[in-house]
Amino acid sequence: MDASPNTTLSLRATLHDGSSARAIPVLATPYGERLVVRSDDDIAGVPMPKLRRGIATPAGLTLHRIDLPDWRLILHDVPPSGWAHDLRRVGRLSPRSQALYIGAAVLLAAVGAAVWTSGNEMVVAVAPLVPYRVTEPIGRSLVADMGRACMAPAGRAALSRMVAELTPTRGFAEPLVVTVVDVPVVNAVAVPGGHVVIFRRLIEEAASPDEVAGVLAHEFGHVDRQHPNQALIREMGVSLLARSLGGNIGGVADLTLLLHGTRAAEAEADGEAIGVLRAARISPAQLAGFFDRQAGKSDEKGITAVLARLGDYADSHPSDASRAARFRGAALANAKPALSPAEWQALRTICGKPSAVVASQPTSR
Amino acid sequence: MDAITPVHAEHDMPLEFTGRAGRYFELALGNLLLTIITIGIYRFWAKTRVRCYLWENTHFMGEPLEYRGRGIEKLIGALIVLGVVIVPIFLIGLVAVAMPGLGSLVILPAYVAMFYLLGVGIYRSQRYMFSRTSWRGIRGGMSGNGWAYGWLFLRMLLLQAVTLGLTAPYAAVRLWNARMNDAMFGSIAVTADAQWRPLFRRFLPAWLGALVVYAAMLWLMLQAMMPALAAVGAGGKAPVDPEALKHFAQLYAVLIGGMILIGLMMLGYHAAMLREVFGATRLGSLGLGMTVTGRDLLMFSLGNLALIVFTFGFGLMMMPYRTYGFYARRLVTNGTLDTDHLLQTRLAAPVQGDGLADAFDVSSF
Repeated sequence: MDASPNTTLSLRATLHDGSSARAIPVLATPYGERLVVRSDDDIAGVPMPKLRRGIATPAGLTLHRIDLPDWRLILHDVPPSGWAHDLRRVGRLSPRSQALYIGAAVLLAAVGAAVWTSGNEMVVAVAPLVPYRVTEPIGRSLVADMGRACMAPAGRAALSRMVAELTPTRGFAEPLVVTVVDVPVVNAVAVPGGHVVIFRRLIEEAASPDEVAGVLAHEFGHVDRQHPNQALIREMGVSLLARSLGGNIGGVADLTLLLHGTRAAEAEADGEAIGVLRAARISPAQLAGFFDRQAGKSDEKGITAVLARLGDYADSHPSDASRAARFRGAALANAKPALSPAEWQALRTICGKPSAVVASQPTSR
Repeated sequence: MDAITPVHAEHDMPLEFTGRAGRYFELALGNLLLTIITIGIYRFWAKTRVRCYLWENTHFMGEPLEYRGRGIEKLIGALIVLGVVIVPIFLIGLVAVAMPGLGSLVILPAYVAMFYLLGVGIYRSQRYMFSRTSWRGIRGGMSGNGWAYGWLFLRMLLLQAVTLGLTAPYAAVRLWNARMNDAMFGSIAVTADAQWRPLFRRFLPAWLGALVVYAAMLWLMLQAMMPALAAVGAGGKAPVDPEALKHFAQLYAVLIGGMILIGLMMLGYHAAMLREVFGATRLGSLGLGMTVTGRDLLMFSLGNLALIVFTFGFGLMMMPYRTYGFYARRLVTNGTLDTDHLLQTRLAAPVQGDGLADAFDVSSF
């Protein structure tokens, strides 16, 4: 049997073996899975998978070897098609890693485009996935930074009953922790982790427990719709979550400045609030009176002004009148008061200071 | 068995540059677009592609040079320089601004260090390019690492400063010889023994002329500023009026005109310098030469200027091609290279790219 290479497929070639600049005239012949390179005094078989196609010049087509970086074979008179042209180009990535790189680039571009166009929808979708054990410490530290928590036992008991009254049997998206903070600001905020804060002055200015219940219901609406967690993701992104998972929740107090409600979120929370109040048989109409009184008031300065601008009861809120109308329209006929007179008195003194005004009168400024 | 006959490539001249401006333009345009959409990161790969193109279109004895550098090497080099050079320089600058006392102590050493690193960068750029250049599979290299060259560079700079540039030919020739005598191609050392004395005859008239121009520039600038200086000297305010703007325009006209005049006077010397240093450089039995004249340099500069001005700056894209082509077309050889005894280099190739030279922007292609 004749095992010699088929000479009709032989190409004249010049070999540079990488050890010297000598030009060795050879014949190159494909033979099975090898390229047989034969000179006058040597013969070698190069495995085809090790060969790469380099540049083509008028002198010929240069072949490279991936195992011998200095080896070059210049094929002369290369036919326009055939095995030499089927070799992979030198420096070209393998199809596998090429696909990997292209995939990574496309993925990156897609993520960028998605964040650009539908970032808000993504935040809304991701917010429920943030675990409570991440959001709760953040919220707790935010609340601690806002001021002294009011702890009068009777007031706490009254507040707890009001919260229990407002909580539907299905519960909310996150367990609620309501804190009254001793700051003279007419405001309430929902922060991440189910933490809701009422500032002392709001309770003082409320004409009835129903108004406080209305405000709470609105904040619970925020909690249930995950608005604070959405704000957390939106403003702080992944880095803050990573820090919190690492147990470091320091330096997040500035977050309070970022917890502005958007108008759409406020409307959502109002809708929830009306449902919550009616389920608890408390008339939403009471809150309308609160809005009426608050419209165009408030002149807090300094740190209290910062706290007053948080969330949604700020004097600058543009839609107080329309919101009042919405709550008034949801009035409930056979409603009951949110708290008994004794409980209401206890809530009003939760911060340890006897209330200076009669319960049914708004505070004068 | 019949002897395998060598295939001789057609080549009239040992050195030939076959680049085409149109093909290069396509490459440069693609590079520009990719550099823009990758906010600049692609520039390392862009420069590598440019070098690949220029090298593979440079033929010696009918066979192309090969550029083996990779973009990632240049990226790594740039990152190292960022950490080791650019950030410390930035910090020293901050210290100089923040603490004027300490700042004046560190700012001079910082400047000296910068010039030292510039020299090191020039050497290492050449080392990187030589080590990534191969012909017939044989690679180049440099035996040094640039730290000693940096000191020589600094000394030559100081010498020129204290002699008002009179020693420029001596410095240029010494630096060229130092760089080239460290270079090798394969197993053959490059030798260079360029002389400064023959150049000095051409340099001295140009230098004296330049001195006169500098003196005239200084005198004209003082004249232009005299009204303002006189007003300040008399205790008044410098006049801020159209006259002052006119003076600024005059200053710039004088400066630019003076520099162009000096450049024209130096053209003949620069051409002589290029002829001397290339002519004194040999690779074993192969001598080099550069057939450039002052007129060539003038036409080249005017051509560049026209190309940039008439394309509103887009012509800048073609500068690497034009610069490389200008020299490659004028590079000649004499004698022959004993290719049978030209063996592979034993020099280790640097791992990272020419980041230092890139940081100082010293390589023109």
